[in-house]
Amino acid sequence: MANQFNLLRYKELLELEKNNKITFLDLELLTYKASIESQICYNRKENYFSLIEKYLKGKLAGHDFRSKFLKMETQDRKTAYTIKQDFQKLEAFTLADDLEDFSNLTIQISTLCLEYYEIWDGTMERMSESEFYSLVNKHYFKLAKLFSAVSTNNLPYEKLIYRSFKNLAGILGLGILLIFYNISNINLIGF
Amino acid sequence: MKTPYNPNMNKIIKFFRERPILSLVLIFGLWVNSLPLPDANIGTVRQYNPLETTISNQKALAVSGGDGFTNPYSSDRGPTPKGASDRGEDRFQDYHPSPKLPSGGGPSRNSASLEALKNNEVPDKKDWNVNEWSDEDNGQCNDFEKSIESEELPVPVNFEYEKDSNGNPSLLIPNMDSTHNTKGRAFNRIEYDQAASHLHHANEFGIQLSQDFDMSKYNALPTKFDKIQYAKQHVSPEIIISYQNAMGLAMKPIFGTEAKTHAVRGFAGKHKVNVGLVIQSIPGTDKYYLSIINDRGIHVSSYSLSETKLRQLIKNDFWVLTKRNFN
Repeated sequence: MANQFNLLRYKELLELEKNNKITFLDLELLTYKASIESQICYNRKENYFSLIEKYLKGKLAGHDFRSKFLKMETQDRKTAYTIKQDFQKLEAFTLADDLEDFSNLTIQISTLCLEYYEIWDGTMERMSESEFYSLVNKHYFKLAKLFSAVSTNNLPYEKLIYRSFKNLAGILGLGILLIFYNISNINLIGF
Repeated sequence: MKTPYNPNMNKIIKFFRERPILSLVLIFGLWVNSLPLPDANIGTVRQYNPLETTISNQKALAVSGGDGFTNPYSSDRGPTPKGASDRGEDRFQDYHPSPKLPSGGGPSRNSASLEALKNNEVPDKKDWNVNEWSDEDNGQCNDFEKSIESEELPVPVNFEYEKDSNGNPSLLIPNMDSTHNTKGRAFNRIEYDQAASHLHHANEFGIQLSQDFDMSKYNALPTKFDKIQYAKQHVSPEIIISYQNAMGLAMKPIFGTEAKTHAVRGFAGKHKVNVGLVIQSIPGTDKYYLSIINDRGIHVSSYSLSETKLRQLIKNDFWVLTKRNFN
């Protein structure tokens, strides 16, 4: 299910901005503008999910992930900019139903990437890689829950189950070994 | 003859034989204890390790005297010792470009009226000599202990500036938010060292860094001090000053262009520290510059925002660096 982009209202708001009736900080106008950019990102959400998963699986280093994520966003922003200039394209532009949820969570990750390198002065703690990882993991968990069909796997739970089986097998094996050891000792000592 | 067989072994075997379940539990406990701690892949949250940040902070404190600046009095650490430079951070809070007091003159300007003015007294009317009350002395104003330097910078800048203890310029940007600021500060300052530690945003302001500047290496440096040192080795002062100037332009209205600039009050960090924010639309693009200024009027950072991020910022009541912690 998709919603049609309200071009009429968007044009009205642009006109109001042009006549200085509203500023560029007007939330409604920004919502219209931002929705186009968010939809472009949404259209290739698989790529975003794949990138995040690579990072969470340890296949991608932190700084590589941050730069690639921001680069992808910049590409989408450029695409969105060309669409925004073309009212004919906007007339047929549709917005996904769950766009807001997707956008809210990806912005959280994107803002983390952007603000990771910020340094204030001696009063601000540097963000550690582990803290960054945990925050990305937290947001991705919510994303994966919302878009389970797109997400290739649920990484944290998959690993948790795998580790649990491994532990259980280890315990059983050790128990059996110990029993054998006890039996052999009993035989040797002659009790 | 001494037997290699450990006599305690009998006791251990007896213990195992008599209490097999307890033995299993003990072995299991020892084995579990030897396992590595669960990492981030288990569950959803890997606990934040405070030691990591503590070490990096301690390093920063040890190396740079607190905040990465080479000047030991650059950050707010109590009153500045008498005679030591505070880099003019607070001296400009009540500074207005005019009117200015007469500057200290040579013998030719040492008249009675000038002496009275110097002592903050009104001179006798018969001694008045308006010509000598000029505030210019060889084009330099000395009212603030030579705070505003007149000597040329390697690149032209659009703002007044003063030099810090290392001889680097701090640009003085007119404070757009002065009406809302309790201190009524006339200027915000963009410091050279702060710009040098934020070169990861230089490209967003159209500043081209030199070929030998390795951004990934720079970003991986642990402390602000390290970044400043790396920047000073690999980037020319002209580029850093141009970057300061570009950030300054993003913090003031630019007349005659389509760029629009707004100053708002905001918050920073987990505990919502008060900050000033300046947001400027960039003409011909869908980007905006966001500048963060701390409560002492020191510029912290400037970077570009997309429309989605700007919308999020407004929805969050202008709260920036939400996940960062301040001591």
